[in-house]
Amino acid sequence: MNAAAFLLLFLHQICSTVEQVVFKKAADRLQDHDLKNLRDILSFAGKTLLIPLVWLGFILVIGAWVFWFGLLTYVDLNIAILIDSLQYVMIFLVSFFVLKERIHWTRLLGAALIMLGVFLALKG
Amino acid sequence: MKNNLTFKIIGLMLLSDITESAGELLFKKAVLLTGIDHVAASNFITFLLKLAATPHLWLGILIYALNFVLWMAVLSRLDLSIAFPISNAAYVIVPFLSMITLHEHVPLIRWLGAALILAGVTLISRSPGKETATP
Repeated sequence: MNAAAFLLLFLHQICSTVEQVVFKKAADRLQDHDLKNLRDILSFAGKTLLIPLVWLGFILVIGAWVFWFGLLTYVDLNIAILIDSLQYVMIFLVSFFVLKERIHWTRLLGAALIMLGVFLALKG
Repeated sequence: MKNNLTFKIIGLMLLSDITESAGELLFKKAVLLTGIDHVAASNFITFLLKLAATPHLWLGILIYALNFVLWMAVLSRLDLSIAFPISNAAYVIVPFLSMITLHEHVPLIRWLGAALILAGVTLISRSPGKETATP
């Protein structure tokens, strides 16, 4: 893993983290729907596509994939999958330091285990 | 009826794990087929064009779309707190399948790392807290 690979991983994780938030915000704008038949589903899909945030979400999905493919030119898939778990640590840090959420100690332990696991995965 | 683990739901979850892993393997295969090692800003566009010319990329995207539908079907029958840790099986399944199909080398210490990551991710996604985890 060199600096370029870490940069690609970081950009991938930024895109996919923001993508989750954007889709969640977009979903909050949709009311509850009864999806009973194909017509309901198509109408729901149509309404979804009218939300600009959904399109921002799509762009972020493509961005996340493009950076992920770039990362795969540097490392084996088995390493890429394992280091991608650092995204949980990133969300954890953002929740704690930016959103000032209270963190349960088991979550702190989880983040520590992930970091130790990634360290071992990269050492191997 | 929600959170009732039937054979149908277990089957859906297995299919969801399988499609997720298959999608990842196809993406890696597509990247290998471009013949580009260590992509940089200067050849990124060439890399993406070569990638788009592989059938593996498009098959991978198709399988990912199928995975999305399966995941939604699982979520409509199970709460995220139960369904999510099961989706983490990818941390073990993907390295295992990379070894078999892509002939990647996975040393013992990396398996130990994978076990710690799996434990950590499960702890984080199951811990009490007001925010919920997303896939």
